[in-house]
Amino acid sequence: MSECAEFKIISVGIADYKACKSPAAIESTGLGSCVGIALIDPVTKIGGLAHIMLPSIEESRITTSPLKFADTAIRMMIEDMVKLGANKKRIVAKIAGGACMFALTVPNPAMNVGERNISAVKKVLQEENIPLVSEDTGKNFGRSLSFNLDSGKLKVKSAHYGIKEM
Amino acid sequence: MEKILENKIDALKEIINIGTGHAATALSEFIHKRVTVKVPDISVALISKMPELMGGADLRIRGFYFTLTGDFTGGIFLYFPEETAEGLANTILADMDEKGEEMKKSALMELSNITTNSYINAIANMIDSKIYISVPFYSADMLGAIIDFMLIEISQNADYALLMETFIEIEGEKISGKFIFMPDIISFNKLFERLGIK
Repeated sequence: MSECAEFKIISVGIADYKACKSPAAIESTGLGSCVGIALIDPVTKIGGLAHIMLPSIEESRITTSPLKFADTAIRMMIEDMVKLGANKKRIVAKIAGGACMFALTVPNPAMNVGERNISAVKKVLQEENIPLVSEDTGKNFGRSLSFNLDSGKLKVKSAHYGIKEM
Repeated sequence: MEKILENKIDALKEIINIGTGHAATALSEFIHKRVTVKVPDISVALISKMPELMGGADLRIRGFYFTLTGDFTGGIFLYFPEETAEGLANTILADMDEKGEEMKKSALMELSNITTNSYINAIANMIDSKIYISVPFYSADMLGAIIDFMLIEISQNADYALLMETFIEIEGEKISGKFIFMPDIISFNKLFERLGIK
């Protein structure tokens, strides 16, 4: 359970998530191939932000850190949000990240894990019946995220292209 | 057990020291300035702590990643904070009238090529192996974003990563950079074998 206390700004590191109730902003810095998943129940204003590294725990050789994976982290975060009082039927998702940070002259699956992360995240959301309302994914730049639970807006900052709110 | 670990860490320090030493010499010849190398730092930490240990996820850097193949596989990553990279590019291009972004980028690519090849060749010679180095993959962005694919790669086999970093400093300037040497697990074992550590 990664419930957070009554802090205004909560930060989420790589391979982690936080879920809590408004008023709060949940932030995560420097996502490249990783994907950030922001979930919110707009009525109760209970939300969460996850910063995942890999598509699926089922495809992994080691399973000691479930928060690394899209499938396990998203499901755990939903569970936490529901425990806090969110209604799963109202939860919507916004996602960002999954870039390929290097110009690849030859295909390199290790350096292009972003794409696989994005599709894994979308698959889990679909399986959980959570609508994906907006996304800022792919391309070749890093992103920092700030998720305001009061407005439900996800701010995506990049070093080269400024700030985008969605 | 502890003794073995200590031996392994000492051996790794020795290896990356030699690597960085050669890299510093190459760099020094390239920019005609004295370059010094600090004692290497080796630490084991949770993968999720790595961005912080390397300078902070939001630190603006220019990074160069090379894949390693041959007897030894894995990767090596060289990076400079943005201001350092800018300073280095200006040093290299001191005689040029035009210092556009593309020029700076290719100057730094060349610098990364020369230094990284010296680093890896020195290690290859020491352990009598053949290691082939790719062309540099370049990215200028936030540190966390640039390195996360490396952490992802490591995290498929482990929750912890071995951070082997070395600093290079250029005399008279506030310039520093870091090498992160990342052999994969199989190569680590090979490395210790060649060094006679079991």
